[in-house]
Amino acid sequence: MLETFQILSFLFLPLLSFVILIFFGKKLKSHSSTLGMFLIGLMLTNSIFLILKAEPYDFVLKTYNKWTLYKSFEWFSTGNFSISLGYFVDNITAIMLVVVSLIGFLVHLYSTEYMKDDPKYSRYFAFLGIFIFSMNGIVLADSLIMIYVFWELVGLSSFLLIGFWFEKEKPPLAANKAFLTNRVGDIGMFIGIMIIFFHVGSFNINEIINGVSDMNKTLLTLAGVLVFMGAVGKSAQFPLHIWLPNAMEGPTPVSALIHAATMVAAGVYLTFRIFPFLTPDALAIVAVIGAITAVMAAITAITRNDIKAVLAYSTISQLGYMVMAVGVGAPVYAFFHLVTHAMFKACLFLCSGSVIHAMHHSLHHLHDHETDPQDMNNMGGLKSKMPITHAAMLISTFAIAGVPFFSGFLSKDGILAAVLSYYYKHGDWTILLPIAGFGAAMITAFYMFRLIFKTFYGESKNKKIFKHIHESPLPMTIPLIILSVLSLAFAFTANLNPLVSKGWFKSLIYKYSKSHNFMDMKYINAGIDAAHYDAMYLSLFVASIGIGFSVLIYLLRKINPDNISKVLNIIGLFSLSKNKFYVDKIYNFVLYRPFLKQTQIASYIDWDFYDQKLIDAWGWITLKVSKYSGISDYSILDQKIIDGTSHLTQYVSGQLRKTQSGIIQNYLLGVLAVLVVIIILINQI
Amino acid sequence: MSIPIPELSVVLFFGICGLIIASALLVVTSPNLVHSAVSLLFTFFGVAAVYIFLYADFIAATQVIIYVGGILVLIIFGVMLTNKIENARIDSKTNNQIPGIVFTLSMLAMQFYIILNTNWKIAESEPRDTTVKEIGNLLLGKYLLPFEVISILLLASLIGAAMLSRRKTER
Amino acid sequence: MNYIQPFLMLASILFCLGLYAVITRKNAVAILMGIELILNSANINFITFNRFGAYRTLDGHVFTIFVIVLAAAEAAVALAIIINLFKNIGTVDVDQAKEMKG
Repeated sequence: MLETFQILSFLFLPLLSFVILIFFGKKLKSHSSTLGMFLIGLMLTNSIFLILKAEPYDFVLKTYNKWTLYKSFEWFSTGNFSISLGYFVDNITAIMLVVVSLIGFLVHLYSTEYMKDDPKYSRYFAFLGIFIFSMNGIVLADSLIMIYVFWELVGLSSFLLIGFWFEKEKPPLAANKAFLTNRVGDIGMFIGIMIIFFHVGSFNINEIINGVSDMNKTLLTLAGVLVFMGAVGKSAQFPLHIWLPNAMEGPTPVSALIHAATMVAAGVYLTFRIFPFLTPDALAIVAVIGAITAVMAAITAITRNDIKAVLAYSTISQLGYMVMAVGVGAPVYAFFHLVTHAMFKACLFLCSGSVIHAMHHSLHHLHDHETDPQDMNNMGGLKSKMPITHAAMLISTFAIAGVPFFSGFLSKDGILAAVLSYYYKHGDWTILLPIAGFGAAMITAFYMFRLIFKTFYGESKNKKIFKHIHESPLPMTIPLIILSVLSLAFAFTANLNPLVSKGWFKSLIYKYSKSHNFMDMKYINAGIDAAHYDAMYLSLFVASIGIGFSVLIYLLRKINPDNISKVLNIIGLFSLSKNKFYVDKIYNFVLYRPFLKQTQIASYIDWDFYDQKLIDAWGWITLKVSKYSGISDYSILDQKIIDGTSHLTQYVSGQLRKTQSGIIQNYLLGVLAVLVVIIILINQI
Repeated sequence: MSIPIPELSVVLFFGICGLIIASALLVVTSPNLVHSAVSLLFTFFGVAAVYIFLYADFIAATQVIIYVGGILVLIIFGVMLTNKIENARIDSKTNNQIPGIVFTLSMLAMQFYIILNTNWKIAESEPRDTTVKEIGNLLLGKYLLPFEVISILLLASLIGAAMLSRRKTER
Repeated sequence: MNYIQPFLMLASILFCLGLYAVITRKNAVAILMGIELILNSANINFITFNRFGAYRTLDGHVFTIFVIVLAAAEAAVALAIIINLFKNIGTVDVDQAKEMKG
């Protein structure tokens, strides 16, 4: 009972925050953030207590306890099947809850300063509350249908927060784009869930894992890919990644919480959960999509000048990594990367927010509303002005670039090892996967350091702005410090040796590398372990190449980037990157334009032909018919028959009325007459 | 064929019948209500005489006391109360005269037809000295309940009549 | 006088005369008189059948008494109603009281 209460408080605390703030936010004013922070802080404490109960895998004894909290109750039932709701808490859930609560709490703290002067202050915190509520719902759900429900809820809260500044021009459009793009994935996901439901008869994930073994493999592949489509939409995988860069129109802390750390990771979380029943074919598709996304987004990120856009593409790229990891059979590393990425990417976003905040204030001070505060071309040399932000951003950049001693190294290394072992095992075309993985790692290191150098190093591009830049206040820097500490490898291993990834964290999630319905996981794990060192050396090598190039071009300025772009443009790479691989343009050309054309044709048919010709003709005919019908109706039916009837009735009743004289004697006479007649008749008989 | 001399009682009977019918006709047809009331008196007396022919002495006495002494007086009061004094002629118009005559006569004809064509079984009962004792026994014996009921009815009608005819109090 | 028919015929004539009065007279008091005639004819019938029927008892007489009582009650109530009518519409002509005319 107490346990159930503890688990359900993860849903009720943020929901309470939402309900109170949406109804009483106007009265609470600046206290609304305090209230939200208090409730989320309570949730954070709760989640830490929960994770302390989780039982790790013992690497020495090679045993682990199956620690789970599981409760399910019937939602509704029709006929002989019922749908149940319930929570399923294991180590993964506990870790996810900590991640969501921690980043949620830090974002609350950060936002108190960042959103200080916003008129919709309390509503912002209310939306954060409903987001955390729905995210926790996904994490706690024990069934696909419940995941789907909360999946839509996070979509809603994402929509609300992207379009938070709806009075501006772009945010509402971005919110619509995000919502609609996600719908495409969600439809696939729903169809997939239904296919599985009709074959297994349950939505419960554990029951599905036990029940799909006798299902047709082709159908299961299809169903798996369809469910994965939901993840493609939510985790911004190719080809549905186009919404995430636009989602940066929302407030930066929101980008940190939703579009970097938690919601976009929900797709990976879902893929992780359904991994045991994905067929090898489906997993191959997953891996390929992840690889394409990783490379493509990384290349696109190189040429972005908007600081948040770089981070957005970087997020897509990293999510591609995670998806690829699940695809090649290393869900544990995917999850590891999910958590480390959540920390350092949230840190990066919050740092960028800090920079934007400073830029914004400076521009505000100068009454300059033309200059874009997010454009890196206006920054430079901020290191001296914003030391804390610089330090935090540098640490998290090291982490994302895969430098030893930082958390990203551990998880990325694991993923690359898994990809490499996948190639070793399958050969053939699968060489493209490690190429994509290592290539993306190199490009990531390159563009992340480009971002650092362009923002914090070199000379200031705009002296006037530079003069008024200040370090952000304490509520904004504290989350940066905490998150940058959590981006260190030490936080996840409690071990100073940077090359060993075994630690408390891995022991918590290790058992999930053991089970799959159709593959021998022992074999795969052995392959990953074997490829470990190859991958490590290679990744160190590509990371240093990326960082080296970046240093040469942007810090030391030995090479002119224009020359490089000219060289790259021989194979068209630069313009591809500059134009985001033309994906938006292709969609525009392949989907929107034909759609518009089609709607125009439809409109033409509808209006000019159907409406003007057919409908109006019908109208004309109806008019004529009704005219004659009206004449016949009025002069024959109405005047003759209806009025005749009423005249007849009137006449008859007028005659009958006379008998009702009210003189009793007349009645009596009538009675007598009838009596006489009756007696005569009786006598006749 | 000689005409037999009728008995005195028969002569008397038909004489009384003639009186009854004549006075009743006058009751029905007289335009003057006072005349009607007076001839009704003769009718009642005649009917009382017929009762005596039927050996019903008590009923005859009752007829005279109640009808002549009670009801007729009541009716005359009614006549007096419901006619305006200035209206010198206390008369009464008729309506439905022709159909009334036609239907009433046809009714009469049918009743006569039935009376004359029925084979009446007549049992001769002995003349009694007096009927009062036996009627008293019946009223307080076999017909006690109807007797009580009719008493209550009488009381109720008394109260009802008083209620109906009393002066309306101004509200 | 050992015949039943004359008595019955007398009652019948009285009944028809009463009926005629009820049907044709306009004055309510005259109608009341007609009703008295009808009741009298009924009484004659009661007594007649009691006299000529094979009865040892005098039940017919008792019923006649009941009818007389009824007639008295009826006359009292009817007169009360007539007086009320006179108060309300100023006349006792029954065809003036045609509120129920359709």
